[in-house]
Amino acid sequence: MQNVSDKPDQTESEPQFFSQFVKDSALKILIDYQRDTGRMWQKIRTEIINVTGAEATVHAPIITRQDLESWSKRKNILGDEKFKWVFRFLTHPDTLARPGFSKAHDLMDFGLIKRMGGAFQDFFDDHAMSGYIRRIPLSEDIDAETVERRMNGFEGCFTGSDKTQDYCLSLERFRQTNFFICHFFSWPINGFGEIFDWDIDRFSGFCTIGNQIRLHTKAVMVSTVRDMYVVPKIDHSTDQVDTLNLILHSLTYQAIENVVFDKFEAAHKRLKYIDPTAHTLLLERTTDSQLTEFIDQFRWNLVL
Amino acid sequence: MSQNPLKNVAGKDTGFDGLDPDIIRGAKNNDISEVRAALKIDWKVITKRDLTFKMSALHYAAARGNSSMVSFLLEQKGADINLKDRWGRDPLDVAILSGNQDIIDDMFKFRHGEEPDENDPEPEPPLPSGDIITLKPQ
Repeated sequence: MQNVSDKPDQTESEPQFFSQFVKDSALKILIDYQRDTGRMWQKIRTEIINVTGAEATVHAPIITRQDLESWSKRKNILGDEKFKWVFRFLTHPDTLARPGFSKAHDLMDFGLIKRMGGAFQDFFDDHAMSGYIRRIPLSEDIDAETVERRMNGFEGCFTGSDKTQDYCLSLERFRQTNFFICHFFSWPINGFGEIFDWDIDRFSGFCTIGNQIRLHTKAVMVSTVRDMYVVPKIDHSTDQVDTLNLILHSLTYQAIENVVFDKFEAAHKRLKYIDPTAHTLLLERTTDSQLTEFIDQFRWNLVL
Repeated sequence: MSQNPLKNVAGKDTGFDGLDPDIIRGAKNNDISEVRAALKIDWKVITKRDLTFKMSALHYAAARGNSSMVSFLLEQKGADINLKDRWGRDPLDVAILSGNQDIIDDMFKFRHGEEPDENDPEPEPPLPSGDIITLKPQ
């Protein structure tokens, strides 16, 4: 039996609070494990105790079979103090090495998200690879504080709409690094007919910030990758971004179709580029607290 | 299931008047009447999956956060929550990613209903075929 306190590398990186998404994902892994092995909650609880060396204290009450069972029935949600043992069990190296727990890698302190996002950012930050996307005014000598302020200026929730759909873009900075988590939602206008129905198309992923913001996202629905571009309008007096121009997929397609069409009508050179006003959707910063609370539900549950 | 939100919106179901109802299309569009029409013709389409993504109607309803559709589908005969899509996700995986807590709770409860309860007494072994059960007279 090995006490988890002997492993500072595991506890130091452990979050103090666990989101509902992490708890739901952990429960799903345990229930899959229970189904595949036929083990009862008592046995699984013994495994958790053995692997983590959980000891009952006033501050960390030990996890019981009843806790696990009622959690699986959704009669209660495991509190952070008790869930900590489940989290330590699932992210323990011995557990991760077992074939039934491969999905538990995704729970580990967003390590996977950070690695994937970091690689993505390295690629698109390289001028040799993507100088056309990220153009930093090299003549301008920007100090660290200004960079920090400008980066924070992008954070927030932006909304807009066209004739049929409402759109929402959420940008959230990850631990003050130059790396943003983004969520892009669209839903039919008046689509929220009932409070329990959303009818939302959702894309989630990360983004790099430059003269253009490039959103690298995946859809929840069919796990297809979609890159989107956003042109920010920066207020240089405050370094705050209150409006964004999103280049819509449908509008991009429409523009491309028009270009192809124009080839057959050489006399009419109407459209050979994406018009920043006609082919983009204006997204404005929102102060809608209900929407922000709604977005909070997705803040970190990315689709990778 | 303690609460069926569909009961609140059932009056809005105007009926599907098309010729060829498709359960996948109905779930994608949150069209309960088309789903119902498809199930009326053949209840086994509840486990139908599309060819491209191998996603079932439950997958699509969970991905879009259509709680009433999920409740309706889970109450149907033959509802299978363990079907995997092209990426190895079952509907509960998709629901957790989607983030609608009502759907997640419903699916966990449904899934728990499939599992034996540890507090329940051991199920009696099935009688061998040919046994005759005799009831004692009062």
